Amino acid sequence: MGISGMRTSTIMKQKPVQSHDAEIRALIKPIVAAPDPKIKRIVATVDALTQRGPVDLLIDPVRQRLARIRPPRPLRFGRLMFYPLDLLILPAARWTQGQQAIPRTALMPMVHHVSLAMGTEAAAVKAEIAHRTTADVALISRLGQSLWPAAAAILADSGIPKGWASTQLGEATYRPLADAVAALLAEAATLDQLRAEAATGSLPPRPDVVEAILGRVARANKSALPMMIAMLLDCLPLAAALLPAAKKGPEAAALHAAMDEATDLLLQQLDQENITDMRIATGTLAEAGAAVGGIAALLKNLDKAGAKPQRREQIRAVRQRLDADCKARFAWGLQDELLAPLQDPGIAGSIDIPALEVAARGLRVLETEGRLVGSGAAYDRLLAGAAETIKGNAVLDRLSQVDQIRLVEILCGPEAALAMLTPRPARQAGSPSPSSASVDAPRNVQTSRRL
Amino acid sequence: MPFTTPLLAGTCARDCKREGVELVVPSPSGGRGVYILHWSGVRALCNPTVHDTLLFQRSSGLTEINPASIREIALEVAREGHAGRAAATAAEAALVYDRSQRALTHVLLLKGLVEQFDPNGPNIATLPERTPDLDRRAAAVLRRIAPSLGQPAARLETGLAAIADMFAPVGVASTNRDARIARLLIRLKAAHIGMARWLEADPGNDIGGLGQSVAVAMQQACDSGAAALQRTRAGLMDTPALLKRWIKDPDGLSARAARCDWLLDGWERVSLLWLAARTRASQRAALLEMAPLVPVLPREVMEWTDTPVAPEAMQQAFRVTSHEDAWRTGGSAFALIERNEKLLAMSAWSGPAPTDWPEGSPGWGSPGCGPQQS
Repeated sequence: MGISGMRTSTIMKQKPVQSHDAEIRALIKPIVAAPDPKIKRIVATVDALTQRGPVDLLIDPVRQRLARIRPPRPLRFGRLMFYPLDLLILPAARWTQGQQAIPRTALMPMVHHVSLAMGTEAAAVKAEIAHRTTADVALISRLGQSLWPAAAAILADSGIPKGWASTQLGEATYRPLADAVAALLAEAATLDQLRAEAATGSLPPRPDVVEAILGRVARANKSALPMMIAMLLDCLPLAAALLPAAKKGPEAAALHAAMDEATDLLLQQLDQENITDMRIATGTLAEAGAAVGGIAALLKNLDKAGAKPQRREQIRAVRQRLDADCKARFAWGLQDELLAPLQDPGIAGSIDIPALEVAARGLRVLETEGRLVGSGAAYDRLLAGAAETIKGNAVLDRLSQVDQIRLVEILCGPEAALAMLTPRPARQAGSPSPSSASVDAPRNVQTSRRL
Repeated sequence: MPFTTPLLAGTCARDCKREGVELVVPSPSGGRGVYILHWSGVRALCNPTVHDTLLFQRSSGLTEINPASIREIALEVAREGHAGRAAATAAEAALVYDRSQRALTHVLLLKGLVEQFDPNGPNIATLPERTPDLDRRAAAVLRRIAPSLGQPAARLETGLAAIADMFAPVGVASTNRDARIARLLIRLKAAHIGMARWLEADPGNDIGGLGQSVAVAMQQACDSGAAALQRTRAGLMDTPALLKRWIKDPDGLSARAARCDWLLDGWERVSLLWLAARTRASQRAALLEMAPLVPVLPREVMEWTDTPVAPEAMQQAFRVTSHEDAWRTGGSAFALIERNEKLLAMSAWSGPAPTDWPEGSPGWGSPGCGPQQS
């Protein structure tokens, strides 16, 4: 995710280095006002271009909307190469020298340079990603394991690439940027492995690995350390607890300062309007739940004792917005992915039960994480209402009794489902058959959420 | 017990004369020791799924608790749909497959009997099918040997059917790869080979030697299981002797048929955890789940297999402790229940593996269901 919505107050402090082409500027306004399907077509057209250049500016104003409408983005060599650094990429107009970020216009010359230097290896990567999209995270992880370190080595030892002049960033900007990108990409494969392991829930980040990453970045390019910490905390919020212990002595002070900068960078991003909404609007309901859990954990770790009052206020505001966005995502997820398919008269008899169960599980994941940042009353009410709909007569022609029991079990827990285990009247021919199961519901309803 | 509630992983059931079924639940912290609980105690510990509640209730109605009887009720509950549609389909197919395996075993026992006592008669059809000719000749043989066994021929016919039911999971033919126990061993071997290669390719994949230790235990289970299978099948060559044993001690014969099941009890879940993990991260996480579930070999293993077994293989070797249960409670529990239901479906599946199942999964590379082999 790019920091495309950086607050105006932050942007205006610095002088833009990129001038907008008048023709492109004239096109931006109608694009911003365009409906979602048109935006998707425009993005697909721009994505299909082999040379993007200033046309990228057309997409910049709608990047936040892209996350919400989720158009498939083709997996290009450049997108794959910079995938782990997405958090740090800014429109060039909003970037200034020395800022802890990477201007978007710098990407393509670096990408071309790496592609040329890799030769046949780059061609092999390009062949493998042809017709694939950014949704294929397993492919990205696999190819990234070799591409990211290779790109880092090339950028760490390269002259100014062809086409750099078109970035209008100035020759003096190249080396510091390339060094920072190289230092970050060199750790991207390790970071991706840590992220994948943490996602299993049972393999927390290893302190020795986190310490090694920070040590290498500090040695290779100290100025990139805040960006590295921001990347680390963004994908591994639990690593925040490991950072104070990662260094001792004089190095600890440098690390502390870098953490402070990284915290500002992350909070600046999270404090933007729509940013939490964007994060949890992207992907499935379960992924939205994971995103909420990640942000909640990050906020918890940033909200440590001794934090400045201004920062604590910023965190409180982000948490409130996250709570509201989470509830909104839950409400439309419930309606669009569970209730609407159930109530659609056009699909009776061919209803996709496994998809409904996936949606119901995703809702519970989102609700469980959502309770960490706000009250649970709204979730309880919506879940109870959904369970009543599922148990109601209106859906008897499309759900078997076992389907109803399972959906209620997922949404409201086993106790509510066990209470339904009594035979219901026989159905008409052609409708799903009821379960023959019958059991007395337990009398003592438990409130424990441990499963 | 193939429970789907994450906190009940590795739970076993046992008979309690006074109070019905007791559950042996591993310590939730992963520490030493187990909890012996009745269902009320389980419900105080966690919130069991509907599937698990029904499975426990069915187990309370069993006259004997053993791997086969638990499997049978688990298939029933899954077939009713309480572990999802995929598990229901797989359970239905497994029940059909079990019936076909019992029928096949019965035919092979009849064939063996006819070939032993009527070797000069017309050739029996090569295909293991029940034909009127086979029935007629088998009935004639049974009438012939009935006086020497002191039983009427009709009783011997009943005995043969009962023996077929007992030994169907083992399979009569020494080359039978489709019998349930043979398939389980193939699955266990696939998991063992896959894990050994993975550890060899990059020792950094292991977590503190846990993978190597699990692989050693898997190898031991494969060897013991294969030896027990071979020995059990060797005892099936002489049908009249089997009938004699059945007449004299049907429970003893049933116990002998169940040896492989006891020996490999619990290994299916361990294998499937490995086979269902596809990425390096999920494989490393699977190691942490597999290790505490590694079954302890029964004390009788050396007597059953005639193979030496290290004493440590008969003690719980692995403990994976965790400070908290976040990885299997709260939001994580929903994904784990779904995963456990998928493992149930994979476990019950008897046809060719669906395309989204990993190599080595149940049904992967198999000829499909039905009595294809002899």
